[in-house]
This record gives sequence, structure tokens and C-alpha cells, in this order.
Amino acid sequence: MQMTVNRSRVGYRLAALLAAAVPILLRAADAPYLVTYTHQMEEPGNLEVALNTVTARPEGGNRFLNHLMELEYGATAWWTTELYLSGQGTSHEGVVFTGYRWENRFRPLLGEHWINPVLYVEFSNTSGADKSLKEIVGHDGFSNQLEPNDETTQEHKREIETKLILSSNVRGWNFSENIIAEKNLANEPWEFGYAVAVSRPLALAASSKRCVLCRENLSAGLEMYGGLGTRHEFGLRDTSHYLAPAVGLRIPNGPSFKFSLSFGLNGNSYPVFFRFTMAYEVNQFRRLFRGKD
Amino acid sequence: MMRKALMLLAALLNGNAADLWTTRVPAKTASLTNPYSGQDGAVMAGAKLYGLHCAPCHGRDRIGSSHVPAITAEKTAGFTEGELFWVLTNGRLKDGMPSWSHLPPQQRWQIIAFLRQ
Repeated sequence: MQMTVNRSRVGYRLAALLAAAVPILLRAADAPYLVTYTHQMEEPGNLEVALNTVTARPEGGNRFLNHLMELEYGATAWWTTELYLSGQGTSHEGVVFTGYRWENRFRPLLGEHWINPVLYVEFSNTSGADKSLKEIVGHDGFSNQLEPNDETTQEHKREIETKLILSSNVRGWNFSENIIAEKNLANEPWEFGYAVAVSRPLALAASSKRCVLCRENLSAGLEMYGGLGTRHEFGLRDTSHYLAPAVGLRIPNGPSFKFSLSFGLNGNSYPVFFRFTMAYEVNQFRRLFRGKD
Repeated sequence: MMRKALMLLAALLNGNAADLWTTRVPAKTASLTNPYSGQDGAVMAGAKLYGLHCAPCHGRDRIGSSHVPAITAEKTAGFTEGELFWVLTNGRLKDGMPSWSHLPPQQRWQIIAFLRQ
């Protein structure tokens, strides 16, 4: 009997939590980038839930579909923390969970400047089967990912990744540059990479009417990213690079979507792959636990 | 300079530390005027943007909460349009107010047009 009461209480609390969450769903206002970071932080107390999907078919390999589930939380106005869980499915090779990442971004300067720096630190614990292509570093290339899941899941990688994010908002345009340094903690050399991007909403002023598919909710951008070798072999040799036009749609009080098509710029790169992100933002998520004040 | 010193002194005497941010606004920015001032369409667009970006913290009725300031027309009347534009652009990250520089300047001015109503 006691158990029934407890269960019903738990059920009631869960239902109340969900009921409270539904009306305050969901909003996201981002540049349309899928690789490059800007200096925009998650708003304090907000939680963004996103699903990032990458799919490609490498030459000589099987088509894969990688999913990265992202929980992004605004701890403060100057600190954003994120947890990623990733998994992938490859034709004829099955579906595997490939690991997790914990990422933190800090804004050291509290005001807005011409160039706004953000410090990024990430710890990842993934298997060699991870195909999220979240960033390209070192000598990453499509040939690294031709090995079957049976073999790559045996390889475990614990890595620290740091980024210096530089970003500017000028007259509605965003310009962002990321400098990446990543180290496999198993005594591997530092690997380097970069990402640069530019974007702009299709309309700068908002219209007075509510709308979904209007220009103010759409943004377009262009990203370029790639590897820069390692500490011992720094440079462009044997690295891969991509150019990726991207579009974003933000539905007011609804989800946001981003889509990009990455075109490989040299023989080490995938010729083409797709990225798609769907995100929901739960406004003032922490109030669900603190109570309204 | 004198104006800033007086405002700082007044804020300290009132014990109103929240107003200290205005001392950091450059005079050139503080004197900016809203290009959308008096335009009904901009007020409506600003109301829409306010509901989307500001209401989750400041509330639909703009009265704030125990740790989020009210931004009613009476409260914002004490600031110049330029000062409001500055705080919207820069935020007050230490106090939890995010920067809204990723919104185009036009949309920030539309929000201010609404806040002035």
C-alpha cells in the first residue's frame, strides 16, 4: 500500500515537472554553425537539449549515422557546461555507444568587445568508433574511419581538448574563429585544428507579426574547418579540410534546426557529409527545482 | 566625468548597487537615440522579441523577481535609450544578465522601443 502511495507521488511529481516544462519550452537563438563556436553562452538557468546527427559514406567504407545528444546548461552568464553522449550506426557493422564528453566554456571578459574571447575545456572518454566529427584535428581524415566497429570499439581514447574561441558581432554579422588543441592522455602528442565561420540572419529587424518561416527566423552562414597537424608535425600536410555552407531556422517558442553540407577540400577529406541539428531550449530550467520567486 | 561621479555617489548613498552599471556606459553610447522611437510597428515587434528573449526571466508583466530587476516603463524611464542599448548589448554577466549582442542592433532597438511604452 505504502509502495502504491509512493509510486503515485513520484508519478505525480514527474507529471507536474513535465507539465511545468511544456509551457516554457522552447527557444534557441544561435548562429547556424554546427562546428564553430561563438561567444554566445547559454542563458543562465536554461537547458538546451539537442540532437546532432552526422552522416556520410566514405569511399571504400560503409555509410554511417552518428548521433550526439547534447545537454547544454547555463550555469552562470559567463559559464556554460555541456554533456554529450554519442553513438553511431554503420551499415553492416551494427550500432554502438561510443562515449561521452563534458565541455565547459568560460567568458573571461565580462563586457562586449570587438573580439570576444571564450576559453573552452573538454574532457572526452570515447572509443575509436566515434564518428561525430565534432571537430577535425591533427591528421584526422576519412581513412581513419574505414576500420570496422568491431575493431574500433576496442580502442579507448581519453582526451583533453582546449579551444580559444574568438567571436565578434558586427551590424548583425557574426565572425567566429576557433583555435583547437587536443591531447590524447595516453602519451600522444598535442593535435591542432581550426574552425572559422561567418553568418548573418536573413533579416535584421523583426516583423511586428508572429511568423515561422520568415526571414528574421532564418540565418545563413559559411564554415571552414580542418586539422593543423601535431606538435611534431605541425602544418597542412596530410590534414583534411572542409567548407560547409549552413542554414538555421529558429521557430519562436519552438525548436531550432540547423543543417549543413560539408565539402571536402582535399584527398584526405570526406568528399561530402551532412550535419543536422535539432535543439529545444527549456527556459529557466532551474526554476523547476528552486520554485518560482 | 562629473555626471558619472555624481551618479556613482547617488547610487552608493541610495545603497542601489544595481544602478552602478550606468557609470560604465561610454558617454557616446549613452547619448544614442532609438531610430525606431515612436514607431508602432517597432513597438509591436519589440513586444514579440521581449516575449521571446526577456520574459522568461523578467516576466511577461516586466516586474521581475527577487533576483531579477523589474523593467517596467517607470523603472526604465530613469535610463537613457543609449544606456538601455548598452546594457542589452553587454549584459551584466556577473549579475546573471546575459549579453544580447547576438541579436542584430535593429532588434535590440525594437525591444527598447517596447520597454519605453
